[in-house]
Amino acid sequence: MPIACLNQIHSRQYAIMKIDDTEIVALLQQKDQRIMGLLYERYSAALYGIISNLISNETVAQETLQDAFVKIWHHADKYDAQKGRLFTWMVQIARNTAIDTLRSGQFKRGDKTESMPDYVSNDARLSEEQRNKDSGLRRVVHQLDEQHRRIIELLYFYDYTQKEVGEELNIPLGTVKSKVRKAITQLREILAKEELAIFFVVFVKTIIQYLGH
Amino acid sequence: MDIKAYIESGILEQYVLGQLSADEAREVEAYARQHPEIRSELDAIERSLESYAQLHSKTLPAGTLSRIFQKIDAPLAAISSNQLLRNRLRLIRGIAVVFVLFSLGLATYIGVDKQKQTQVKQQLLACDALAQELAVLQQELNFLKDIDTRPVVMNGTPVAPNAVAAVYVNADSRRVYLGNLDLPVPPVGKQYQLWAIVNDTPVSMGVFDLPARAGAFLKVPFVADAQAFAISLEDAGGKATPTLEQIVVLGTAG
Repeated sequence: MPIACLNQIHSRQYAIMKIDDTEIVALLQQKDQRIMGLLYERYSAALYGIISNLISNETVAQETLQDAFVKIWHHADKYDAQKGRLFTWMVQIARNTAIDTLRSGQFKRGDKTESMPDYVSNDARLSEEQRNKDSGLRRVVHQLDEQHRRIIELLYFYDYTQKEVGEELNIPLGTVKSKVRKAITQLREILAKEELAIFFVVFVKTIIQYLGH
Repeated sequence: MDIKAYIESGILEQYVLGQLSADEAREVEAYARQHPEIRSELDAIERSLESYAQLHSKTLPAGTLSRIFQKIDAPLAAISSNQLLRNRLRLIRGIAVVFVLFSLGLATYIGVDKQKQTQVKQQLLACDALAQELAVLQQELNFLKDIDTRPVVMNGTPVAPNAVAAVYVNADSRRVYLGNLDLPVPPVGKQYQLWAIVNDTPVSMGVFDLPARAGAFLKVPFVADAQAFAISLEDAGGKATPTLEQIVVLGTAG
């Protein structure tokens, strides 16, 4: 009874939040500007998180996010659903935009020289915001193997090549390659286990962000 | 092509993370179009990273969306706030629906739980009653099975020719049970009284009411060396000596 009840609520919330990606893409490609609000509401914070890993200056990172959304708007017709999910494509654009910003001059790719935030052993480094909101993230991070976590974060958030990951972690390139699948498989297992909890975290974040406008 | 081996090679993860050359990437895309398993594995990998990225979300300052609209040169600032308001109303309505659903679910859950608790309590009580009854029956059975237990059947006298009763005497454990009671229902103000005859003298073993349950046994006081047993119908409360013409059943021991 309680499980069934929760599932029902879960799917209902999902229905509210989940306007299909294909629907978004269709409207985006028809240049229907109204969809930008939803796109922004759903993905901006995650994309901003990714950009912030590459660009530590907040103002520049925010400018870059705006530019990324402009590119997403202008290049929507280039998105091909056959090749992957909308978010994956948007991450690529956000990342490329950030790299362009970095190349354009004055901004260093700061995070390559700084050490990464270490959620596991150094909670003091977490910002107040993260500490308050990201119990869901920490639940996942705590369960990930340290090496797996770093491989995913370096490749996905810090745009390292596998060679660079090998150098950073002091392991051979071949080992990095074989560990990438292991790392993501472990992440998938943890996420599947934590699905409901994470869903609520994301849901609450979305609402907080939304009401903040 | 061995799809499973292909998936397990890790090339799909490399693809999603943008680690492949353009040629390699095109190959993965071609395979994904041909094989739904590869497509769905790619999708699962992408979803996991997407969830992970969502967990790493960073809050943007207010006004960012309108800056974007300005940059894409949209005459939308007015419409968008209107749209936002409408969206927000829809969201609030959604939250309300969820809240009501949740409350309903919770209330139903609590209600059902209470009902179940009551049922369980009743069943436990019934169980207790049954267990008690069983213990009594067990005790009676053990007594009857005891090798030293002797039955004494008392048959009806001319006063009540069809009446019958029996006592079960165990001299070893000094216990006596009265059972097999098939006696006429006594008139109001009258009670049956059980007697033991010891050395030709009647000794009262007390008055009793007919038990509600047919075949029930009554524990009665032990009297040593009884030659015979009898039941007489007496005024309620019993008498010191039996009224001879009211003896309904009589049986000799041994």
